[in-house]
Amino acid sequence: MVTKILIITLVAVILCGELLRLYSFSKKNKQTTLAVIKRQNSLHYLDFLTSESLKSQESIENAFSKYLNYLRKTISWKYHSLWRLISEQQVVTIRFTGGLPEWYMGELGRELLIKVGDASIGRAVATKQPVTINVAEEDPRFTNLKTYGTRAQYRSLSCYPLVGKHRTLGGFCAYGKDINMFTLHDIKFLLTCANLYAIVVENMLFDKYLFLRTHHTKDRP
Amino acid sequence: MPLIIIVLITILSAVAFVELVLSKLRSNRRKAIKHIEILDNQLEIVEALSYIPSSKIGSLTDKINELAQIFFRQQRCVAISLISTGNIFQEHARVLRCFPDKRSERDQQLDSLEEYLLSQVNEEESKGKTEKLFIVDSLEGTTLKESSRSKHRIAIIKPLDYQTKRMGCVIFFSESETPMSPEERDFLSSVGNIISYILRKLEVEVLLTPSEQLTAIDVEW
Repeated sequence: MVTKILIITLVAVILCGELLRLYSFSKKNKQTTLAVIKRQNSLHYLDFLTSESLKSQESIENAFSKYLNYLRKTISWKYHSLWRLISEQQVVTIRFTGGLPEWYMGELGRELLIKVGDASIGRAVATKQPVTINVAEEDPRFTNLKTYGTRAQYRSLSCYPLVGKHRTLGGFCAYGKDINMFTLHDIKFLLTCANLYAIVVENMLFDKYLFLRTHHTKDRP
Repeated sequence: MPLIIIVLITILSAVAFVELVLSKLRSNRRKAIKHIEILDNQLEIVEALSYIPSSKIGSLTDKINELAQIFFRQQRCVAISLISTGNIFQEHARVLRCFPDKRSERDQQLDSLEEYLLSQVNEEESKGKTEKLFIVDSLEGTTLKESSRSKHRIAIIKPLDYQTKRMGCVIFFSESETPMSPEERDFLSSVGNIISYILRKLEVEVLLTPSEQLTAIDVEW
């Protein structure tokens, strides 16, 4: 009887061990598959962004709401925002958002002018380097994030400068709903997006200037 | 005795089954990891290229050469030809050819292979096809084999457009005949689009003086 129990226990232990191995490996495989999908989506988004911006003759507002919403759908960070640098005052102000609540754009767009060097976006613009915050509510560098993060329901964020050929044009932020959302891959990808956004904004401004100049010259008597 | 045999058979078959599943999962994971490495390389190339259009240093030839060298390091590409619709390169050349040994040549005339490839694209486009990439493989004509670029097997042509205007096209000569995956298409299309940005920047430099460019970007957007 004792032998039988021992044998059954042994069988059960071995089978459980094997199942555990299978489970842990399939979990690893799932993570790898997700990593592949994320990279495929990243490449797809970069193609979408560059192709659309070269084709499009839309206004900056329409074009960027499309680019940011598509980024949200493809890569699935919770929110995105694009900030403009007001050069004379050396402040940044929010211009477009992808998925952020209405009040965020309303309140910050009207009232909030962030000094270059202050807050995460101001620091990214000043240093021309990405600034990533892994736990928004606990970061000692940027205390106001606790208020905004709780209200807008984001827990981590990553900010990037939009560096044009002649000067820095503003910044770009991505927000995640969990802590520690941004991997090295994500940061590199978002930095690429920010570089491309800067090119797109600059091209749009040049096009607008050229259009106005041509029409102004034509209108002259 | 029979009980022990049954138990042994059960354990062995369970272990064998799990090992079989695990080996399948392992081989899938190895493939996925290899795929991730390729995708990461492609994303890194796009990231490196995304700085080039906004860079102040270097002529167009230098920029395209830099871009081509970054590209050659990672890809199985044996040559790149950049063909412009106008005389935009120094010395009024229409074609810039880059090779992996850092050699580049400028030419006023397209060679027979480039003429053939462009005619193929024009033919396809006249039929109403608006592909982001056109692929011509060696089976379609002998012209490819007659070329000096002996190692290549296929040519991938990316038309370079800005809004409604055709600025030229870029031809990637590759030695790999394996069919292109959707993400490879996205990647090559993004690379082509970044070249379009570079060409557009050059056009803007002809149309606007540096001070006009600054005025153009110094507006509220």
